[in-house]
Amino acid sequence: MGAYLIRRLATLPLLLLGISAASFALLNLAPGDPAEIVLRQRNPAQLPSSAEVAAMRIELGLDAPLPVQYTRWVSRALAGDLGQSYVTEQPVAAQLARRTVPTALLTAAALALALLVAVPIGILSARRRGSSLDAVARLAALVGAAAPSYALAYGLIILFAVKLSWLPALGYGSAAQMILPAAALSLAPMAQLMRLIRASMLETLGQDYIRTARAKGLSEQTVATGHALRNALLPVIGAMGVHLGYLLSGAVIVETIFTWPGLGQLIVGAALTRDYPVVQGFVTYIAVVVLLVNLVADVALRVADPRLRFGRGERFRF
Amino acid sequence: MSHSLRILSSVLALLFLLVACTPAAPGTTSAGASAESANQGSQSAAVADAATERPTLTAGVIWLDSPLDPVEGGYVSTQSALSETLFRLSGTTLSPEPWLATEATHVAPFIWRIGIREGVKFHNGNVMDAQAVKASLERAIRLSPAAADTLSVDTITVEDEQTITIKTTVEQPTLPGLLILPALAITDAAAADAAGEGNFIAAGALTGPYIPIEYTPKERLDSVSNDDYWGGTPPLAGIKHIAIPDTNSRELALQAGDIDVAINVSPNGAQAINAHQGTHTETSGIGTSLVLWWVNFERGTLADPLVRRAVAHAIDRESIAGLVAPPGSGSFAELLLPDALVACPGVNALGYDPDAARNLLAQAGYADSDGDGILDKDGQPLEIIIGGYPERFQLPIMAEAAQAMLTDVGIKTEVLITEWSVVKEPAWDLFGWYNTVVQGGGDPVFNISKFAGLKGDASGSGTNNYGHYDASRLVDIVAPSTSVSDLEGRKDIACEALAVVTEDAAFLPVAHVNMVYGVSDRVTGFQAHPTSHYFFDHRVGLSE
Repeated sequence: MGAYLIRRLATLPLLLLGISAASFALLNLAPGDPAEIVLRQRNPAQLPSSAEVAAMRIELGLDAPLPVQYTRWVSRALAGDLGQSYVTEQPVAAQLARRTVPTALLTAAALALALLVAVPIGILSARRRGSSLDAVARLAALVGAAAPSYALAYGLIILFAVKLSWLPALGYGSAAQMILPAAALSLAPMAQLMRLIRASMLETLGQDYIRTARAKGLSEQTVATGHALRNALLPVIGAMGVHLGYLLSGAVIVETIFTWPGLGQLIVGAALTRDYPVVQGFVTYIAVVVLLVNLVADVALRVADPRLRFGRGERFRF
Repeated sequence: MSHSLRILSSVLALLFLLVACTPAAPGTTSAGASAESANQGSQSAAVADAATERPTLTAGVIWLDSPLDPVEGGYVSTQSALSETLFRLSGTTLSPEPWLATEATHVAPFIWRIGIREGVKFHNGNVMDAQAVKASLERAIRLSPAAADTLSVDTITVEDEQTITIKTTVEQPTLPGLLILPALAITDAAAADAAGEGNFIAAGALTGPYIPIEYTPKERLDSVSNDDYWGGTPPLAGIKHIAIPDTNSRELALQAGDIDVAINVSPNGAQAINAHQGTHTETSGIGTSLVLWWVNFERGTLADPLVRRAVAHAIDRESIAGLVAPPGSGSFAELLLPDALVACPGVNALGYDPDAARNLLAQAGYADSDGDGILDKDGQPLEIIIGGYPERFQLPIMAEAAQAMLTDVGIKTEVLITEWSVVKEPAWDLFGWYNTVVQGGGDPVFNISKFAGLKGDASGSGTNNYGHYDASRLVDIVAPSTSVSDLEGRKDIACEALAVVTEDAAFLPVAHVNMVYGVSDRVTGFQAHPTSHYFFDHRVGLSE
C-alpha cells in the first residue's frame, strides 16, 4: 500500500503541470484581450484607446511571450501565489479560499442527498427486479441522468420558490437556502449512483457465495444486507472521485443560477471577463482537489477490498 | 437492515443535516473577505440606530464589480445612491440638471461659474462646501485620466463658500453635462486619500442618501440610510444589492419575493413579472441604449456605397426591432440617437425595400451568373459576415434574421457570434453592438461625434469608429459646436451630422432599448431612470 501511495503521489506533479499548461494555452487561444477588458471594467463609459490597451498589456505582463508568461506563473504558483485578479485586483488564492467553503458545503450536501436516496432505492430496485418499483426507479434514474441541471434548477425555483413560496429562490447563509441548489445539483449523480448500485447489487446477488448463504437457510434480507451489500457498494467508493468532478462542474451552473457565492460563480464571472489569473488558478485548484479525491477514493477502495491490495505474484498470507 | 447499512444511512443523514445547518453569514464572514469593509465605528452605529423600524430594500443587479471610489470608475456608487455628482442627467429631457450644484453660468468661453448646494454633508459628517468640491474635482483629475481628458481643466478657483469657478484649457460649452460622469462624484478628498487603498468605505467620503457598510465585489453591497441627507431622511433603513448576473434568476428571485427590485429584465421576463401577482415592470419609456450594426468600410464589400445602401434596403430593421425590443422594452431606431435626445424630422433612414436593394446590387455590377441564388461579380460571390457577441441576447437574433433577408436578395451571409472585442479585427462586414448613446451629459453632438469617430470623442481619438468610417464630411459640420452652448443650437448641429451618417449608411441602427425594471408592488417612490446611471434615490421606499 505504501509503494502504491508513493507511486500515485509521484504522478500528481506531472499531471498538474500538464493540466495547468493545457489550460494556460487554451485560455490564451480564446479571443478577447484581457487588457482591454480590464480597462473597460474600470471605465465602462469609455472605450480605451490603443495606447491605453498597450500600456495595460505591459502592466499585466501580457506583452511577454506565452512560454515566459507560463514559466512566471508556475514559479509564483509553487510559492503559493496564484497572481491577482485582473478585475477585482484581489489575490486569486484568497478568492479561491473564500469561495471554497460555500462550494464544499453545496457539493457535500448534494453528495449526501444523492447517496441517501440512491443507496436504498438502488438496493430495493435490485432486490425487486422486474417489479413496478424497479420500473419506476429505472425510469426516474433515466430522467434524472438526462435532465440538464440548469433546467432542473429553474424548475425547482419556479415550483418551490415562486409558486409554493416554501423556499428562497437564491442566497447563501441558511439551511433553507441550501435545499434547492443541493437538490438541483444532486439529481444527476443520484440517478447515476442508483443505476450503479442496482447493477452492482444484481451482479453480487448472482455470486456463488450468495448462493451458499441462501443454501445455509439465511433469510433474503440477511443475504442482501449482511452479505451482498458490502461488495455491492465497492463500485460506489470508486465512483466517488468521478462524481466529485461532476458535482464541481455542475456547481458552476447551479451556483450561477442560485447566486451561491462559491467557486462556480467565481469561475463563470472570471471566464466572461477574461480574468485569466482567476480562471488559471481555478483550473489548477480544482485539478488538485479532483486528483486528491480520486486518490483517496482509490485508497479507500483498496482498504475496503483486500483483493485490490495484491498485485501479480503476490499471495494472500493466512 | 444490516448494521453497516444502518451506520452508513445514519452518517449520511447526519452529514446532510450538518451541512444544511452550518451557519454561514451572507456574503462574507471571514476576515479580509470583503474588498472594502465597513467602518464599524460611531458613524455606522449612529445611522443604524436611526434606521431601525424601517424596512430594507433588496435589489438584484447584474454587475457589482467596480470599486466604490468614484475615481476608480466607481459607477456602482452613483447607481446605488451612495454618491452624487454636481449635475445629473434628467430622466425626462436627458439634459443635465443641478444636483449637488445649484446652477452653472457660462461666464466666458473658457470659464464656468458653479453654485454649490448648501447643507450637504459627507457621510463622515464633514461639510461639503466649495473648497471640498474643488478638492474633489482636483483629486478626480489627478487620479482618473478619463476625467482629466474629459474636463480639460486649467484651474479651479473657490469664489466663496458656495461658488467655484472652473477655467478650462479648451472651450467646454457643455461642461455641466460632463460633470455628470460618475468618476466626478463629489468625494471628501482628504478623507478618501487618508483612508488609503482598499479602505474607501471607512472614509465616509460620499454624500448620497445611503452609506455603504459592506461591499464584496461581484457579490453584494450593503448600505444604510444617511439620516443627515440634504434631501431628507430616506424612508428605508438601507438597501442591499445582490449581484445576480443570470437574468432568469434575477426575474425569478423577484417573483419569489427574495428581492424587491430586479434591475434590467428581459422582454420575456417582463411578461412573466407583469403576469405575476405582486410584481410589475417599470420603465421610463425612453430608450437610451442602441442596438446597431457597425458597417465595415475597410473590407471591400461594403466600402462600395451601392452595396452598402443595398444592404440597408434589404434588411427589414423595423421588423427585427420588434423581435429584439418588443413594445415596452424598446422601439425601432431609425436614427442613431433617440428622439428624446434629438429629434430630426427631416432625416430619414433607408427603409426596407428588397427590390431597391436588388437594383442597387445590379448597378454595382452583381448578377447571379451561375444560377445558385447568390450574386457574384468577377467570379467572386457576394458574401458578407455579420458579427456579434452573445452576452446581449439581441445580437444573435438580429444576425440570424438579417441573414435570411440578405440571402433573399442574393447576398450570401455568414453569422459569426463570438466575442465583442472581435469588433476590432477586420473579420466582419456588419457587427452587432449594444451600447448607450446618451453619454457626455446627454449632449447630442458628443454622442454623434463619438460614434462617427471624430475628435469630439470622449478619448479624443475616435476609438469608437470600429467601421473606419471616413468622417471627414462631419468635421466641418461639428466644428462650430465648440462654441455653441445652447442645447437647441447643438441639436441643429447633431441633426445635420445625423443626416450625413444616415445617407452614408455609416451605421445600421435597429432598436433603442429601454431600461426595464422588475419591481415589487411593495416598492414606493421608485423612479425608473432611462439610463443605468441612477437606480435609486432618497425617495424609494417599501410599504408594509
